[in-house]
Amino acid sequence: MKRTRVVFVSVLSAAALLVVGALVWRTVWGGPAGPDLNASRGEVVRIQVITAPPAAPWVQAAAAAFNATGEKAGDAVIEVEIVPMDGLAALGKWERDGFAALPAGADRDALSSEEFQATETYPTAWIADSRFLVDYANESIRDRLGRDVFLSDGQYRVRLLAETVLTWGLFRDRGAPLLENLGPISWSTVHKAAAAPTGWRELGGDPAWGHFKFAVAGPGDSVSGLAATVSAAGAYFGTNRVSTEEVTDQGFRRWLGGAMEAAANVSGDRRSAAENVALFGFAAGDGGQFLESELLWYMEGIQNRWQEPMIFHYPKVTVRLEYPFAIWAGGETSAAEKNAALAFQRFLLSEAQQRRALSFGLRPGNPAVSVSATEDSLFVRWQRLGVREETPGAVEMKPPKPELLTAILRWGEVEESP
Amino acid sequence: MSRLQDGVDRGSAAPAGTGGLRLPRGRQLLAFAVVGCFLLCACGMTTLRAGAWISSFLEDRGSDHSSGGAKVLADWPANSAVLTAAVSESMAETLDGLAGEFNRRRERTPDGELKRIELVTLSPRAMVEESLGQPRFQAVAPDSSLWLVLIEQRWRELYPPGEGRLPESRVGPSARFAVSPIVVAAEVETARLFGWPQQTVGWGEVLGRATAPPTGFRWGHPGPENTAGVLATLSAFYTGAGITRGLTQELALQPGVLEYVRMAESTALEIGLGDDPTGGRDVGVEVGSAAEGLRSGILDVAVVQEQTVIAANRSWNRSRAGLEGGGGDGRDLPEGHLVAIYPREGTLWADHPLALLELDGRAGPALTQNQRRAFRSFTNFLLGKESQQVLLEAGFRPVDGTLDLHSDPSPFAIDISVDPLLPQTSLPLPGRAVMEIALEAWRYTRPPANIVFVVDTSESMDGGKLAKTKAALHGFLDQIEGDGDKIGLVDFGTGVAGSGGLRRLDETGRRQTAELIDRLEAGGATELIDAVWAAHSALQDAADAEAINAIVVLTDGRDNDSERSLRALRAAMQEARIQVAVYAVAFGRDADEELLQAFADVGGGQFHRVDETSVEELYRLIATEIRASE
Repeated sequence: MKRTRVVFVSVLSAAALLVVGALVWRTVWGGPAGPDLNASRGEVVRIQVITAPPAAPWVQAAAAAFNATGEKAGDAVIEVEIVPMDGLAALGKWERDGFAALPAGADRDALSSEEFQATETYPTAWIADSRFLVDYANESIRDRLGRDVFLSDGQYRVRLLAETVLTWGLFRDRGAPLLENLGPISWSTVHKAAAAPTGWRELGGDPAWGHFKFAVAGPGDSVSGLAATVSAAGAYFGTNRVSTEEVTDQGFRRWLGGAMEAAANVSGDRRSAAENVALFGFAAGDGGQFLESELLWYMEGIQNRWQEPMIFHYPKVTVRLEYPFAIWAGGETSAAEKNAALAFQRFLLSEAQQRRALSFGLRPGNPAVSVSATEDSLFVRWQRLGVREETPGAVEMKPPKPELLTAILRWGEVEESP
Repeated sequence: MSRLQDGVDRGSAAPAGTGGLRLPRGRQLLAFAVVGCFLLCACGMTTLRAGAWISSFLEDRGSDHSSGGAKVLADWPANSAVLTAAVSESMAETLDGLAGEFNRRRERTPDGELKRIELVTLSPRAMVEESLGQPRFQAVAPDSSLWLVLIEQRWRELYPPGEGRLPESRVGPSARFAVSPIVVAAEVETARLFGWPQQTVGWGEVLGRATAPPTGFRWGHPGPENTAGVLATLSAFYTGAGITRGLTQELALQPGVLEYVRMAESTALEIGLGDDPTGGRDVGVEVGSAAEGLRSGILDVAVVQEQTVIAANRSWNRSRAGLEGGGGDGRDLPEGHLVAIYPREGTLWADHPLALLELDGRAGPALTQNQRRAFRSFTNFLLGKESQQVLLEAGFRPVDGTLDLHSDPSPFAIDISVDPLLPQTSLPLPGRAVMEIALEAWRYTRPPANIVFVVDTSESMDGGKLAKTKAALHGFLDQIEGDGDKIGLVDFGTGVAGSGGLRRLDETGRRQTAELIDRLEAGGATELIDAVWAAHSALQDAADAEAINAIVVLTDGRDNDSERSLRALRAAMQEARIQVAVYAVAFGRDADEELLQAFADVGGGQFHRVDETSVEELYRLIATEIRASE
């Protein structure tokens, strides 16, 4: 009997210990699946991909489709997490070491557990707005760490995913009198329209429309704003390679300032001209300069909300953005993570996803896929609004050199409003 | 041996054919232990799970929502997935519902943390100020992106960018989840007086009435802590300058323009959230009470978000079921119905962004990866179809352009006093310098102020309270720019000790006043009424009727030693030649709030508890609200 009691008490104590242990474990780790548990299981390799906002809708949809396939890197299932970030913001982070890279010569295997955990959320890949941003980030990091991190050749080399170009867009009813009075839309036309003292009254439109309003992204606010400034300089100087001296020229600045008098700023956010027109309609712009992909993407909303579409007008001077997929080659990410990024890159370049890009207004990076390859291609859907399959005759601006980029951004800061 | 025998015996005693199994005693004990252990473990785990379920159920009742004064700790663990967002009043109710819905989804981060959204309501301007230090929130949802630009600009002033090409940002990723244009709201009859709906109406007509010789016209707008308030002031600058774009600092500071703004603002009542519009003195009058102000005739027009008009009409229609109008020209709109006038010259938009703050850990805990994940998840949730539909139903224009505003059941299709195709023009946000002038317009347009502080230095103020009072007084001095104002100090802890009367706040006056503040010491009784009497006498002696005359009382106690009575004070104030407003600020729970409220009532001032208002806000209130009552 006594022995039975001893056993009984022992069982009770053991069970109580088990419960208390479980409670302590739960309290310490904060949940049933603490970080160590995940790490030790080795079932998932999770990667973060910094993505330019104009490409983000497509890439996010692709990431969801990719994650659903359960593809593995080694034994681990790949999970892709998309972090939308404008190219200028991302470039700033890379340059300032905002993602906290390991010091030069640091050995991943010799990291403390805290340091190791910090690398777990290090971006594995970057889909920038344009290749030149990746090159400048790489140059900046190479100066600091003494090694290339975004490679131009080899397995992890940068590959271009999709493209878009700068285009003009005008609300249909407002474009008609403007084109009739001032001729084809160009930076010069915008300048003249902005300078009209009585606005639409003298531009041949309804006086109730007020002044001519021009939708354009701010030069320091997003890559598309930067591209707009570069294209304006190209149009002003009649060149496809603008120099720092030209952009800082007082005559050019006065001229561009005159055109920008018409730049509508109704809320303070000037990152995407197309989004602003979709949200604020005519108040944000009777017309503007847009990324073709964004204008295509927002066109349904523009037409629904404002009961009038925008008509595409392709400029003589344009800028092409090509959304490169760059894999971080540094020691902050593991081989499994790099291979996971490579697998996702392959997925995005697959013909199915390249065709899918058309539904988001992007021109496929794969030249074998035409912009009219699918029925739900936005190029097909909005063909009647003047979207072109090709952009023949347009002069493409060369990417800005680092010092030119700095000059434009500094100017943007000075001109910043409010 | 005996045990074994015992076991054998029992085993052999089992009736044949029953199939029963008699185990040896040792094995019985073992089986008992295993079963017992299993049962206890099962009970333990069930208890744990039930506890966890109850805890999560209680957590998921909605989002934790607190108002501006509530304390939320600016501290969080390194793996926190709780994202606290500051939200402006105009969006607070809708966002609170959406945050609750998000929290009920119980999304988790990869490391198992529960993603959770908590909200704190603040004015956009307060968000800007708090975001520059270590805020108690990691994200902000002001009513317009213009406040995000201000955060960024002020951050760069505090921390000038280094050598890099691209400076560090305080404001991280952001997304807009709803928009609403700023409109001039008026009751339908008033709108018709302006020629609505046949004619377009502009700021010129509205402000023309506001600045015309006394006609009794009253317009209302929120304070400069909100986008509608900023726009109202900007519209006065634009109209005063006679332009609709290209407003420069030079133009804005022209005497004629400033005089126009002063005249316009002199007929404006400050409206906002949660106060009686009849006083028109509050920092924040509720959206709904702006509607009440319009319907009761206290206000002729009010500058508000379009959503306010929709929400006000909806509740009005509900209370008067069956009286909805139907005529497209506004002729059939029922009495009390509000209409949205989209000013001809243009307007601004409230674009309701949700933005993450890049808290880098320099003044407190840094933003965690899980908070970033919570932000992304919540943003995606807000941009989803269901949330967008909720926002549309609340009267906001959703950012999802595929949602139809023009047909039923969109409130824009039902309420014909709003027009989703308007506005078609814009009043552009001017540059930084002009924005700062507009935000501080009251400083440029107010008359000089004579302010006497009545400071409780009784024994009970010893320690923290007196230190806090001194800090508040120094802060108040810092708020006053230029040398046009005069300040006096009355200390009543050890008897009413005059401090030399009113001092002009030139360099000498500032230094002397600062020294007086530093010398304040606690001790003695609370001669509250006598002290206010002394302050009032000082202002009467100054006899400056052109200036704002105010008394600010700072106390934690009850009057226990005054010779004069409240009745005598009230009579003296009512009969006085110089009108004096009393602002009473209570420290602690012991303060005689009834008496302090009575002071405020007599002088047409206000009563506040110390955690309800900042020094800057108090100063602005004094400078602007007395003027409104002129």
